[in-house]
Amino acid sequence: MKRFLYLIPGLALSVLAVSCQPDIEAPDTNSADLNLTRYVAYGDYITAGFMNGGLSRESQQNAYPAILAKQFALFGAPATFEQPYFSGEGTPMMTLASENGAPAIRNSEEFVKLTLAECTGLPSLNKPYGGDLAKVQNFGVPALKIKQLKTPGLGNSANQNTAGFNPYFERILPASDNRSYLEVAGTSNPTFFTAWFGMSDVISYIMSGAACGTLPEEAEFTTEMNSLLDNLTKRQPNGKAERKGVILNLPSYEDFPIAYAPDLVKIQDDLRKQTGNSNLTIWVKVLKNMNVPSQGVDTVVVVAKDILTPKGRTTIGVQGHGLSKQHPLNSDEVLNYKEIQHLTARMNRYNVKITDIVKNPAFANMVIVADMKQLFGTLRNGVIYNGVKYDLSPVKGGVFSLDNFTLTPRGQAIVANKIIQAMNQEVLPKSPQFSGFGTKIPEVNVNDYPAMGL
Amino acid sequence: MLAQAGGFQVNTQGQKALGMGGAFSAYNKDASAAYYNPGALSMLDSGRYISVGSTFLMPKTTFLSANTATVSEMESQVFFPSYLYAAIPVSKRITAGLSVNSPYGLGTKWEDNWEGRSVSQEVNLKTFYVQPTLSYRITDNFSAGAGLVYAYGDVLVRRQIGEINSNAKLTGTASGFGFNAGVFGKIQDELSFGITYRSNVNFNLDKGKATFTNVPASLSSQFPNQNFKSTLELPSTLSVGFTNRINQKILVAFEFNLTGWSSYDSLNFNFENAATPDSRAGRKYEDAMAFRVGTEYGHSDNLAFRAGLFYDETPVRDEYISPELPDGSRIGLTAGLSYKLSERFELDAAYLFEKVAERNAVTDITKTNVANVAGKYRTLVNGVGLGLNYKF
Repeated sequence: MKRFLYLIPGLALSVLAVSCQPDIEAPDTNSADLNLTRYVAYGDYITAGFMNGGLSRESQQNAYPAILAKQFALFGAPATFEQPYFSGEGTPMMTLASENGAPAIRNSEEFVKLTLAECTGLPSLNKPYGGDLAKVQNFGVPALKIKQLKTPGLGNSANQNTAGFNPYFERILPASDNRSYLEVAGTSNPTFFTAWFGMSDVISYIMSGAACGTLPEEAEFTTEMNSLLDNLTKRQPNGKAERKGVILNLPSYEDFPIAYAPDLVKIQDDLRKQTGNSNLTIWVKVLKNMNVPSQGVDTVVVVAKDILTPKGRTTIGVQGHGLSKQHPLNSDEVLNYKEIQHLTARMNRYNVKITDIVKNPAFANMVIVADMKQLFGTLRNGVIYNGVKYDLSPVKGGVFSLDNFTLTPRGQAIVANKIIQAMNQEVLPKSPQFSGFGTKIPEVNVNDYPAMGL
Repeated sequence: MLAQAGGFQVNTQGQKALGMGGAFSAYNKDASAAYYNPGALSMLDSGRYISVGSTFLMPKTTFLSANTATVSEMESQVFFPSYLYAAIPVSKRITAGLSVNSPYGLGTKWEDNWEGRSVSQEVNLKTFYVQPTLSYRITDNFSAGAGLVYAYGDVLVRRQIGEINSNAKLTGTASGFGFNAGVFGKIQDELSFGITYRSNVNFNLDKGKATFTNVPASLSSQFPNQNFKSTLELPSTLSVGFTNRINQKILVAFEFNLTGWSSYDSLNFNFENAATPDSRAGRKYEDAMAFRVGTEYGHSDNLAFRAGLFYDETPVRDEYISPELPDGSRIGLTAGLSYKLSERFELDAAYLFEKVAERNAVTDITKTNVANVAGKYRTLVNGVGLGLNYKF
């Protein structure tokens, strides 16, 4: 009996040691009927992985297309995602420094120049990609505007320092290649794609105070997007799209941190306090008619929401500049409230047009929308993801990078997740604007991506 | 998860009780009555009793993320909540007793880099309750007893501050007082009943230590190492049980417990430095019931076998399921035996298996004051206990 008793604890302990982990049924994940063998991304700044005002190999690796490709690889897509990587150093990035205890952003000049490229022209980066263009899967080109999609020679260094040149497009292309972006995209043969255009137009408009190029008209936007999608979906003579993809719409002006910069009324108040002159007034030139620039300008007193552009921040007050009706701030020094209204109206219309496009029977249920307007609207109020808080405030919000327009790696991951969520929606033949592809692709853990270096 | 019963209760406080599914407030067999029912202590057969024992608990939890579909396993930990009881008659009717044990405890540890690292990496709560007790036999069939509880607690909380990839570690100790009182009665020799009330205990943590590591230099003024304050109230438990001796060999026991978890409303850490954001987390526990049934079979004078079954309701609401304590309602099966090694020594052993109901944590990203990670938890608990009783 005694021997038996000694056995009991021994037996029981060995039961404990081998007692297995509670099993949990394998989650059902799948990519539905999507052909993900060659996913290609098209777009501009954010698509390229542009962040903190520049582009580098590391930032490219954290672009949402690269994040998406990693998830697609779970379903048979190739493990490597070919991007036009920089072999050495990328382009200059902004850095965060501490100045008298307050955070200060440095090295923003290059980004400002890039947003004004359509006006001033830019030289070549002299950092050619040099790889096989046929293999490239990320055609994100920072600063690429909608009206430039069909511009020949946009990536030909013969055109450098002109409005018709984009140094980021040039570095992808072979030397002296005269093809337009659309022509290059047309030969990229995706089996699945994402497209996000319009951000460059918006960024340039805001940064230049609406003084560097115009926002595309609604009709122009529609035409360009249709041409692009005809191409990317390999639309057939019978009018039907053959390839599937996701189109991203645009967030709102209020989603950019710049919308919360001190406006000119606040700056005027501060100047009044500083100078002790309670009559000090800031004047600015504003177009009489936003849609007909030829009607000329009015010189008016600043109002709430008017904000300074990077140029205006350096010129205001210099020899009284902007402080009298005779010396008003110029159009390129201010983004005024009328321009903001115009921008908001246009962005809304672009989003309506995107909805119309995916409702078009040619593209219905072949091209779906990932709703960035909804996503950024939610982010604006703050979200929490696995215990980590995010919002759209500059620097600390964790979503926007230091340039206040492009995203941090975690912001990129949030966009990637939104695209996955859109794809995972069920297929809705009757309301294609809300349709997904019925996939069950897992999301990524946003917090796994690098945090903003504070 | 050390918590072996609902919330972070641990009910493995005696091997005989464990063998009978915890239905022990209307039974008196050894000095563990000091804990299970101070009233029953003075009803023990004459003699002095000492009991010691330990239960090896090995819980296993698996988490399936709703967002990323990845599976995380909680790190395997072995816990051994232990006890020491004594019962010493001081007069014909009065028995003095002592109970030292750990009726509450929690130990959850996830890999440092797991998906929910900014919600919780590790929580470790240990308690030690010391309870001197007096029991008075009022009549031959009815007795009452009470003890004063001095409780000591030791807590560790670790998590990442994901916004800045820094780490927070909070540690502290605190103590509090409570009481344990019970009545015990016999109706003829076959039927006995017991009612026990263990009070809540308030812990005030005044000088917890918060340590922040890997803080970016630009934020170091916001996260200096410092003291913090917190409070934790461990709940009261009311137990009502009865025991029926069916024949010379077989006895059946029933018990109902009500644990006042609703006192656990939130867990807050208030940092000394005003620049450091305080941490507030809603818990909103609900009072929870447990039902227990156990049986004992006296095979011979020297050998007894036991078996038990219990259902232990969770106090944690759906929307507060978190990796710190992915608790669920439990069904437990137990078995045990006692063997008299000699006139004085008796060996107890018990085995426990618990299946915790699957819990599904749902998150709402717009509720920024609730830190959680969405997914399913499944937990199994195995336990083996050994105890030794000495009568002299």
